[in-house]
Amino acid sequence: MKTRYTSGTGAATLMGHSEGKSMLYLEARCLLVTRGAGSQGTQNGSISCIALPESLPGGVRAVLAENLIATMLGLEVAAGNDALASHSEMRKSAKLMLQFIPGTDFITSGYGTIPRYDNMFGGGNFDVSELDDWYVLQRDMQVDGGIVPVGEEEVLRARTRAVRAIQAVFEAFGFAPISQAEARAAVTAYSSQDVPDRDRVADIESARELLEGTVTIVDVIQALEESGFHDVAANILEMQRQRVIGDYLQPGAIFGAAAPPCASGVRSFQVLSAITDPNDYQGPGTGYRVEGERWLALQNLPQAWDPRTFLQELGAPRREDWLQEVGPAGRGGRQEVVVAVGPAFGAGIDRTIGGLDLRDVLGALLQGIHDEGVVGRVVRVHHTSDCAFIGHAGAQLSGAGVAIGVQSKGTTVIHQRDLDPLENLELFPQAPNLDLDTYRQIGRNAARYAMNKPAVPVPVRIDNTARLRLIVQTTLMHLRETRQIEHDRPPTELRLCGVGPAGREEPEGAEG
Amino acid sequence: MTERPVVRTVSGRALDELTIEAVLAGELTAEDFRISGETLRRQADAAEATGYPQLAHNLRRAAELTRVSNQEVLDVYNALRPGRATYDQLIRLADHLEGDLDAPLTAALVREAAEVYLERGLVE
Repeated sequence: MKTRYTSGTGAATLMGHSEGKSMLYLEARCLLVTRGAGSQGTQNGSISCIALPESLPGGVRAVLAENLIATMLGLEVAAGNDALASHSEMRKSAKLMLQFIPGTDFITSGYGTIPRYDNMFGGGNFDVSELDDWYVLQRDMQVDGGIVPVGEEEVLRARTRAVRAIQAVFEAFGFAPISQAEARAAVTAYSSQDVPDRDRVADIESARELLEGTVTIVDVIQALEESGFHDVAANILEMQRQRVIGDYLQPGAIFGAAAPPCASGVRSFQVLSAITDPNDYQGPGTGYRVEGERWLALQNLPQAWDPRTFLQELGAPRREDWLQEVGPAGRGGRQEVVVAVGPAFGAGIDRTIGGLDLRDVLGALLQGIHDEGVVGRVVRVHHTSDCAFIGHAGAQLSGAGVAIGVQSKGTTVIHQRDLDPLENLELFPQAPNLDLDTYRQIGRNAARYAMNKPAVPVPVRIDNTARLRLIVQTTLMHLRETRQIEHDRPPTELRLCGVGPAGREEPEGAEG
Repeated sequence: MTERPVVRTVSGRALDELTIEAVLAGELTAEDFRISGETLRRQADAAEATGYPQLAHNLRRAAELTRVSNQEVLDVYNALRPGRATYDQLIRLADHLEGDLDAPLTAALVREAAEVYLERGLVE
């Protein structure tokens, strides 16, 4: 006797029985009846009726209250979050979010693995193409939406197995056969349009035979076992054994939530329910928390990349072949621009975050300086990884008082000796948007400032997706540079090999 | 958890007998996968002990109904729909459940329904 009542905010009103009461009052009454009748749970959350409360001020708040009442009554809640709640992407997602907070047993009653247009049940709030987003929502909010991220290989293996098992059972019972072409198409099908049409009259005849004939689940298990689907047969047999045991009849019961199938493909059927795993919510920080193995499984997104691989590819520890340290850097005595680079430049980081080779970046800057007839000198700053302070330190060394500060991820500033560290002549904060032409222009402008000539600020491309897209890489690169800081070490002179304008500027001996 | 008593099906088989070998040998039928009244009563006790008395009553009625045919269960279900039966028909149904089918708890539910339906105008 597993029963699940269904009711929801707006339902009684839609059926013409509002009795002058609020929708929440009516639904609270339904929930008490559900509990009083001895039902294990409810399917609620204003499913088919959701648009009715949504048409009223505070309506969605009432839906949240409805789920809360169900939880307080100890009813298992299959919240209707899979049902289409709105055609607005924001409203439907916002409504979903409400169920992340009260911790209902099931945030949704299920997931369609078909696109919306194939869903004959009314269309889902989200469909199969949004499951990747669901994985991320589970990870973002540390909630258990009931799905575990899997890779494509695993999906293909499971789908192939399922299709072949159904094919075998159809064959054993003499139903309208499933061809090999159909089976192959079904494994990778996105929608009904991707599988060949079937003889539906024959299928309906098979269904009639099944309903009216003597075939039982025992025959299905036998057919699967004899066709070599031992794991599927074992799982279905275990489901029948569970019917005999009856633990699943208790409220909130689920089978082996945390345990994935073992190597043989046979699932864990350990029941978790209000009896074996009671709701012990007592306020914030209590109750069911996504943690341990389950939390690790939910975090393991197939689309996530490994930061360690990124760090390995950032660059060699030290590139003596093109960038040699030749001793302490002094203050220059001529009309020069100092290019001050960060601690990891060519020494742990070889490319900017935009993928430009640092040799090319340095070459473009020096070429730009050279274009204006000014001498460029390269120093490494060791005591800071902050772009402004790198530039400021360089400007103190520059004979003309002008420096270009370059972080190893490519962020660049034009600085002047007399400015405060956090001031600048020009700042280029979004390295992913800089190309070699921009760096060359930066070199030119720095040279013009050094000569007290007028300069037009260098134009840069705007791409406001860069920050969200690359913030993790930014963090990792900046961390590497910051870890290479040597607080007490003054700037050093660098000698370049094969970089910069033809004939390269040899660093002139420092004065003073 | 304490050690479980042996779970038996409504047909009297022990859970351990429900194996794939027994399926292949043709020894099992769908009847061998039905829950017994005894197990349902144990589940009812567990529900009651955990604060679900109404669910416990439901499971105890279900235990009685394991001895009743599917058709008769459906007949009771339909008779309890609003306006489908007279007060007297409901009382006779309750007597039948108690006297002939040894289902006193289900009979009591039907009697209670008859009284409430009469009061609320839900009888035929």
